[in-house]
Amino acid sequence: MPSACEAVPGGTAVTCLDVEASALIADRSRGRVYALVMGGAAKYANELVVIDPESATVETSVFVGSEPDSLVLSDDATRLWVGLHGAYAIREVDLTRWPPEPGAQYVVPRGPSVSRAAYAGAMIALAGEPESIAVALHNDGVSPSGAGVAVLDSGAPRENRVDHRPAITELSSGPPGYLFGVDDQQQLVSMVVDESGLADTRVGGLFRGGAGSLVYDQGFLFTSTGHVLDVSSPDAPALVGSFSGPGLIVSHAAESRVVMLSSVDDLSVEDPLAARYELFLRRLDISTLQHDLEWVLDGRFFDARDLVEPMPGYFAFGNYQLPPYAGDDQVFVRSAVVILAAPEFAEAAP
Amino acid sequence: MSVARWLASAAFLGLGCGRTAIEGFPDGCTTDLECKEGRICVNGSCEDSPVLVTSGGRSGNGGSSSAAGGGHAAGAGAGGAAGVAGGSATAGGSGDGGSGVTVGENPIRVDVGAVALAADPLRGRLYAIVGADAKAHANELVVIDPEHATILASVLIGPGPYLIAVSEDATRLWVGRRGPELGARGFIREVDLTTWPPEPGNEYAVPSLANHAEDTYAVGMAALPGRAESLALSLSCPGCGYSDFAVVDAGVPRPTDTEYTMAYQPTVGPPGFLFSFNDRSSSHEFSSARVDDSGVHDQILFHGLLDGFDTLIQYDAGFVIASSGQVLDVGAPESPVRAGTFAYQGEVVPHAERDKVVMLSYAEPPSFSSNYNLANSLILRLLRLSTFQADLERPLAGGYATVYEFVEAKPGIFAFIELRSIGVNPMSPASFVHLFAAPDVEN
Repeated sequence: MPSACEAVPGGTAVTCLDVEASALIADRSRGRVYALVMGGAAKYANELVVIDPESATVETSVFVGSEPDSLVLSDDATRLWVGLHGAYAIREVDLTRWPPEPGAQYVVPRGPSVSRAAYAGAMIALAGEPESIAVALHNDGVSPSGAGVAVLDSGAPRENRVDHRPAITELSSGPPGYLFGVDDQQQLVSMVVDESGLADTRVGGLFRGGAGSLVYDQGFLFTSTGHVLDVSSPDAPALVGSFSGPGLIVSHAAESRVVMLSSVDDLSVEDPLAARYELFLRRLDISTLQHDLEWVLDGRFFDARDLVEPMPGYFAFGNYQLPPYAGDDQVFVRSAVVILAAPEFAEAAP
Repeated sequence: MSVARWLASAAFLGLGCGRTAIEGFPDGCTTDLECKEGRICVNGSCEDSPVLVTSGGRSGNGGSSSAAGGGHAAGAGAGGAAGVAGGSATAGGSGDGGSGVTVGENPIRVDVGAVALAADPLRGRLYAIVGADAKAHANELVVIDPEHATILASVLIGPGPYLIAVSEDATRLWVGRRGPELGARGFIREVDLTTWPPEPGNEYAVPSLANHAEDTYAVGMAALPGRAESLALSLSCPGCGYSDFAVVDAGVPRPTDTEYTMAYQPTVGPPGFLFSFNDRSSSHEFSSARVDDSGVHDQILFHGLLDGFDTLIQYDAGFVIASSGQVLDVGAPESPVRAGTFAYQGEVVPHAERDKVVMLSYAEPPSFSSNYNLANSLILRLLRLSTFQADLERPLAGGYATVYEFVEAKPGIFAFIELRSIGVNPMSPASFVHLFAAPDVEN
């Protein structure tokens, strides 16, 4: 099976690592990228892989469990929480040890009104509570898969959960005491978090063309479809505007900017399964919604996901292939991790 | 496993369509269609099909078994060919026993039209039951020496065998039978394994489901540990859409059974527990029930732990391992949890106490639409239960149609059934037993 790296030339500011990542997250306190790898991978199967972005090398890897595909970092960076889809469980990993040390594993609770076993989808760490995460619950084999959102303290669910209809597909952090989500009717879900759990309100009509993934920073909520919301009053979110196009976002809201990774689909490539995207990195101003810096990446890519900035000016994302359509000429490509050295895009020192 | 699901059972080994050419066979035939009637494609050239044309094992020994018992032991006979790299060799086609072939890493085909297999760990034998339509050994129990791919004996067990189970102490073998000759009712028959050749014994009608006295049959069967005369049965009936558990002792049902559940695939769990999985409808319940002298009761259904149509389950040392790759921790049998999921699908031979699972999978998405086209490659994997990683994988030589009934015939020697369509206009279904050694997996 070829690697998604094959269309990415080496020796430039773009480095492609043959790590079949299912999810990425940045640890800015240590300047590292954590990547999860699913069980069918040729290397690092069912492992957490630690990547040094500066040298673009794998530092270490540790077994974490069956089919890991979601992860979140506690805000004090002491703990990593990993969703184990294959085990319908979550597992904590102690990051204060080297190499990182997998710890207790907890069964994901069932949804509030669904009797089926559930797995962890999107996860958000609660500020100041490294043992606590909010988890979007999902069921295999049913559609829609969403089974609500629960807050777990060392795996134990708080009493009040957000119900599963309409299903919540994305989660983000928010101002103190709040989380945000998007449901499958493209409503913004504002959730109040307290010791009893969660209570939600939903607002429709904010996302023309959908929301995609969410990034919260400094009172703003950014969507991968290009929308910018002012959520400084979480119960009354307001649409600020929209960038000119969609893309994955790293927020530099403190300096009123975001960095966006966007793609151009090369329609001249006839094979729908070939690496057909040209990617470019843009720096965008939140107030004007215009970009003032743009960089076209060397190489061609599949779909990108999980853009992170583990160190100022270093970015990483997953380069992966959407599941091929059924047919006689199926081609599968191993996903990969791409590291970008882009110092001009670094957030200005505070 | 029931013959009723034999075609479908292959579906969990992969999905979709596969390649259409067989690598390594540039000349000669690639499908049975290119051979004359009665001949099949083997390693790129056409050979007589012993299953259709000759009598496989029995013709070399004379004397057939009666339904009341008897049977015959194998005599000396011609051996099969040695294994050939790149394809499955043939053994035992023209005589029984004493072939001198030692089964190696390349699968050796035994021309027995089996519909189900069971291993006898005590004696190191493989038992195959053969359906009524087979041209040789029809309605017989065939005893195979898995190490030498030879037929040791065969005995007539009556029409329509499709389920097989060996008691824990290997003194008794049970056969489930159903067919036009028997009416709509299903039967179970015991076979004494302590005699040689094995001796068919009593036969019992399966217990009736309510309002289905004439057409209840077993869709699954498992031998209960510790009592050679006791079986757990999954009972269903035409158009029922459900299956219930019952436990029988020498054909006599225990008083308590389940009602209107989806208890397909009875699987013996830890002492006092019986598991099952509903692979027939999308609710896909996994169930845990208590079994004791009163029968089977306190069944609990769990949704979402396992999924997949035609998914088969096996219990071993605290785990339920499914052909979908999903594994349950049933250390607490009344509150099972998902332990993990292998990234592969296929029938398994579990060795949970050694942290191992052996899995036979299609190497690529298989083709089931044309069983005359030997388009499917097989891959054997040794999987580690604690990490859900593959420690070892190697392809099996040859191309295959639909395969199912993967069993470990004796330590380090594995068997499976291949279902093919052979002949030309009309084509006929035929099945074969394949044997191969995998000492690397066993060690």
